[in-house]
Amino acid sequence: MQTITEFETDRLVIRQFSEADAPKVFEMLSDEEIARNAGAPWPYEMKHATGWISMHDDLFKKGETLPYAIEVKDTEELIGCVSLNNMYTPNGPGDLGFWLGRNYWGNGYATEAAKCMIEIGFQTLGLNKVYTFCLSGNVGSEHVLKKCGLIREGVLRQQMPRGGKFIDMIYYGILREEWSQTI
Amino acid sequence: MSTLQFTLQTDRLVLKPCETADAECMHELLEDGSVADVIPGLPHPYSLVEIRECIAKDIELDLNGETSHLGIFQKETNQLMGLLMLVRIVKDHHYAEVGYWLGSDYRGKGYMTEAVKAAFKHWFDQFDLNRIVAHHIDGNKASSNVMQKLGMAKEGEFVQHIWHQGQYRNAVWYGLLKKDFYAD
Ligand SMILES: CC(C)(COP(=O)(O)OP(=O)(O)OC[C@H]1O[C@@H](n2cnc3c(N)ncnc32)[C@H](O)[C@@H]1OP(=O)(O)O)[C@@H](O)C(=O)NCCC(=O)NCCS
Ligand SMILES: CC(C)(COP(=O)(O)OP(=O)(O)OC[C@H]1O[C@@H](n2cnc3c(N)ncnc32)[C@H](O)[C@@H]1OP(=O)(O)O)[C@@H](O)C(=O)NCCC(=O)NCCS
Repeated sequence: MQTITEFETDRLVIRQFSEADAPKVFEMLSDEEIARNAGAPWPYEMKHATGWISMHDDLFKKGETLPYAIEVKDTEELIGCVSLNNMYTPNGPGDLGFWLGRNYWGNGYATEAAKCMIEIGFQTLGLNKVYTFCLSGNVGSEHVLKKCGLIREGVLRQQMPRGGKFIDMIYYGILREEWSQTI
Repeated sequence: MSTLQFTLQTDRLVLKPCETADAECMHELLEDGSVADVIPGLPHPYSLVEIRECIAKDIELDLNGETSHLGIFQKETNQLMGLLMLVRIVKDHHYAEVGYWLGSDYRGKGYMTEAVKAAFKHWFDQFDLNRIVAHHIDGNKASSNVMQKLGMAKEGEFVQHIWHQGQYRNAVWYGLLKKDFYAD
């Protein structure tokens, strides 16, 4: 597995997390909606952030789960995470994930970071497909996925318990051949 | 070796956990490769030793409550014909996935629909499930028919989601909600 660990977009640097990022990760994920949507433990504690980051070198060596930090070029501020996950099977698809600290929503950053991650998936990792599951009602996330060219392929009904109810999860995906027509 | 001692009965079938002594029979059922052709990840060829190890491992997972495997036996002859399994049980999510196969001599007789229906009644309860899903690769008409006969609804066809035998294949996804299963 090739382990290129830094990429650039217009406004962002996509890089590996380091130990020094833990306090900021802890701060951003101390928000229940974000932590739950990111699949992080709740309540979120500082030890979750340090423990998670300490696993990253191993994750990158294995290559099945690749979590990248999103940093704003101008301010060098860490604003969130974008990742490709669940790449367990040979030639299998990559599962796209992303979250931003609440202060950074609404600036197009998630779209910019996700587009970069998709390009990493197809170009650097040679994936055939990028997909993800998005909670029904997560309007922001669905917008990001659509802007990145992902297509809705199905709905897993009542897949996820949340607030005493079971919520649908929507499957979005994009194939390499579809993506290559968008660039 | 201890196993979970329980048995489900239908008109024509007995469903119960397999024992390592069933390995030879299972080896015969799988030998023609027709099951491995439609179930990604199932080894082929699959040696007797590997099958025995797999049964032993499944028994252990079942005892831990992580999975539930049921051999499908013909009531009259006590012949093992195939396997039915509940896997990826996520207790917090009240969710699990079902998988199944029959040896080629035993297909097309309505056995699987009969077997899965009985197992669902048991599993929804035993594992306090809200939802059971099943998926097959594109083109597996027999399996999609079983899913439909069980009242499962097609929830999506995930294009080229699976790499199987040198090709990208679609994953066809079906789901069944507890309320719909008991509505019938
Ligand atoms: C989802 C999330 C990453 C969006 O980040 P973001 O940087 O605000 O998204 P963008 O700015 O790139 O938004 C893309 C589009 O969605 C729209 N959008 C974003 N949030 C929205 C919301 N809550 N409601 C409606 N539209 C929204 C934006 O207006 C933009 O559309 P436009 O370009 O036409 O104006 C962010 O809200 C988040 O971190 N949420 C919690 C974690 C999460 O849900 N992750 C996704 C798991 S699948
Ligand atoms: C899929 C499988 C378990 C079905 O078991 P089965 O006992 O033959 O199924 P049933 O007899 O209950 O058939 C259910 C329906 O499917 C139909 N069917 C069965 N085999 C079929 C085939 N090859 N093509 C089209 N329809 C078929 C039956 O006619 C029946 O419909 P009907 O009642 O309207 O006539 C069996 O074919 C098998 O083990 N195949 C190989 C392994 C496999 O595919 N496992 C599932 C992986 S997802």
